[in-house]
Amino acid sequence: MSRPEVPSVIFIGQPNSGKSTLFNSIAGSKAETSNFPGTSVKHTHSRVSIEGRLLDIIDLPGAYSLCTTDPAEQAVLSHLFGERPDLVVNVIDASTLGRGLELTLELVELGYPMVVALNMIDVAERKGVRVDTAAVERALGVPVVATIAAHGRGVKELLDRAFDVLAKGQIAPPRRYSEDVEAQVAELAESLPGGFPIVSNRRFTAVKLIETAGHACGDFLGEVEPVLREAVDRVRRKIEERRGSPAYEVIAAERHHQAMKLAEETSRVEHGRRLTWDKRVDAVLMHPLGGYLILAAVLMAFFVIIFEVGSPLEALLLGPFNALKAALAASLGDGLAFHLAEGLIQGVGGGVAIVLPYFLPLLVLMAVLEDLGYLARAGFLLDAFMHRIGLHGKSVSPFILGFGCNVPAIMATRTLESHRDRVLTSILIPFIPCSARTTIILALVAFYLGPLWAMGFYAGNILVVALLGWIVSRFLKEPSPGLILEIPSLKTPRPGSVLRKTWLQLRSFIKFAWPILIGGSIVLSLLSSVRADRWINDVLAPLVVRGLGLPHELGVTLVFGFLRKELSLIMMLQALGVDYRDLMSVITREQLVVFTVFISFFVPCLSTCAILWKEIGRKWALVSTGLSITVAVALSALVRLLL
Amino acid sequence: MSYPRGDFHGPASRLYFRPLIPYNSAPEFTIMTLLEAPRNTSLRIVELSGGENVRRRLMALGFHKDDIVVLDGQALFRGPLLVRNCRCDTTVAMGRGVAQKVLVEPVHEPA
Repeated sequence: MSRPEVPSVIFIGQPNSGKSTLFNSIAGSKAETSNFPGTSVKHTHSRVSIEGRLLDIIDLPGAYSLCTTDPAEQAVLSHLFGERPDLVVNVIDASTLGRGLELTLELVELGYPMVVALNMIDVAERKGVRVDTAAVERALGVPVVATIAAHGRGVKELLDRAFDVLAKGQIAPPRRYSEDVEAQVAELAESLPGGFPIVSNRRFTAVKLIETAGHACGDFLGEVEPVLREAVDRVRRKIEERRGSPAYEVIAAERHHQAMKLAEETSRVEHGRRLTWDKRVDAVLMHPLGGYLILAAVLMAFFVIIFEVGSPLEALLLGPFNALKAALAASLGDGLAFHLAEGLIQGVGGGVAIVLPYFLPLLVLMAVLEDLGYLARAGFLLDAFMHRIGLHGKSVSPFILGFGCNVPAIMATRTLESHRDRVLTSILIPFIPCSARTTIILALVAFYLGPLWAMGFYAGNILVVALLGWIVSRFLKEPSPGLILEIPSLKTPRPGSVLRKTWLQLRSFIKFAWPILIGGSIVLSLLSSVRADRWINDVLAPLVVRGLGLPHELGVTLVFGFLRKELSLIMMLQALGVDYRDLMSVITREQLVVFTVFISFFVPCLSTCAILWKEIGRKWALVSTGLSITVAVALSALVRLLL
Repeated sequence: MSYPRGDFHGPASRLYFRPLIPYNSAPEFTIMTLLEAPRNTSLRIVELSGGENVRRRLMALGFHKDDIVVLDGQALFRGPLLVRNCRCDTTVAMGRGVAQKVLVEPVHEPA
């Protein structure tokens, strides 16, 4: 953890304000960035050295306000309130200044030293809004710097100002509400008992008590004492009687009007509402008819591109590894040394030649879709369909992320407000074919039977997810709160950001998954060298041979698939003792499909199980696992019958 | 463009009052749910009804009473509405259930 003399700087802003881009342009290559899933969805922590001065910078997930019911956003609060930072960098999307300032005003009330980054100033200008940075600074009383994080503009000035504030400990004066509200806030602030945990200052604590009273998120301020509770209720009632609406609404409205006034005073609309390119593109992307055609085309292109890039690469890369193996077999004979070397080559070669050719293009395309802002649009288009399976459009984004990897997808369900939606989405995500399963589907089904089979496989898979959703939602009757999903403005994906995202995922594959692939291959090689794999195969024979009609040797590969799905593919080749290109000489088309179906639906990999357990609890994780096994066995049997 | 738009026969829309006066004859007095409101017309939010959670969420996303919003579109198959807040230029996809809880009135202002 950080030493006390290294100042900690928290980056906070509303979702899609470009906060992480700004963070990365500062953390960049100067420091090793580590992602660790903590209590928040994911916060990134970096120690950077800027002109010889160390800073601990922390990127928190986006939050719309400091008074929230969203579990992901609540993690932001506990971090912000719990570990008092030395400086807050508030990132605002200048193109939606009015709304961004609402969070800024809340942060000003919090009263920590603060710098504001008026980000995406170019987007605002494109929309015809010119923001007077100096005027915003005068009005807020904290340094405000215009930035374009995507191009690194304004970052240096922001850091200079940040060091300045760190040195001076500059704190902005909070803005006052209307007199009647302010009087009530002051009354409550004074009646806070001595031992009560004050967050930053009495006024802020009082405001938050009023705003959150009677609400689930009220407990973040600690156990409210009965006397204080009475005082809070009295103050709240007074505000409500006077204004005729709930106290939290009154305070939110006060802040909203302050923010709007500030935005209107400090920005000028230069030209009328021009139809900018992104609005025009959006009109097409979300067109009631064209939108769906584009969505279908996007998903289709997604898989076609991955396959078209992956399969030639795969064929190209497999050659050298096979030649190496043949050479080793000739020189080492059939001893232990050969088995060790064979396992190593299978593991390394499988990773390079079979997994990466499909995995890499998938990561790149995923990052492009994410950066473009297409996931939210897909959510809008698919909301009606999601209602049929008891969910709504907000679950679309985690589902699509699931095509990359199920683990971050399950973590992304934290953005769903209701627990029921989170559970249902998390149970269904393991059925989404992640990149590992996509590799298997493309490398086996598409490669041997043709891309149309793979398309059919995907269609069938989505149908299974829909059907399961429909069935499980019958048991989870609790009503869903309905869709409220922000549609961020479209952004041209930048190569830098796409490469960075791809690299982060790739690095975690190299770090965690690849060693498992190599280790698994070596273990299988050693098992087969002492003929121990036969026992496992014998034990599993009733299921594998009689139930699924697969070759006896494949039993052991199904067991290892639990560690990593790709491992099953690599071990399959190894267990059958054939070259990838000669696979069809030892198994039939039906067996290939049954194997793929079983591997795809059978218990998700170890990491997915672990994250399910952590996120939705043991009971639901077991339900999901049980469902996986049932579905895998039932579907495989069905496919066997049909083919 | 056809007025008024939205489902007048759905069971849920009966929970709220429907416009008694035809909208095009006296628009300034007409209060309706967002679900029934016309497209591409400036609408003033009269009230955010519904549960506290929904209201808090809407407010966090910058939708407050008296804000001017415009309906930009709607997805197929009774899908969500695309609502743009003109004051801060943010767009939100709003499920029909949520849209039904937002009461608006058309205003004479170019969209």
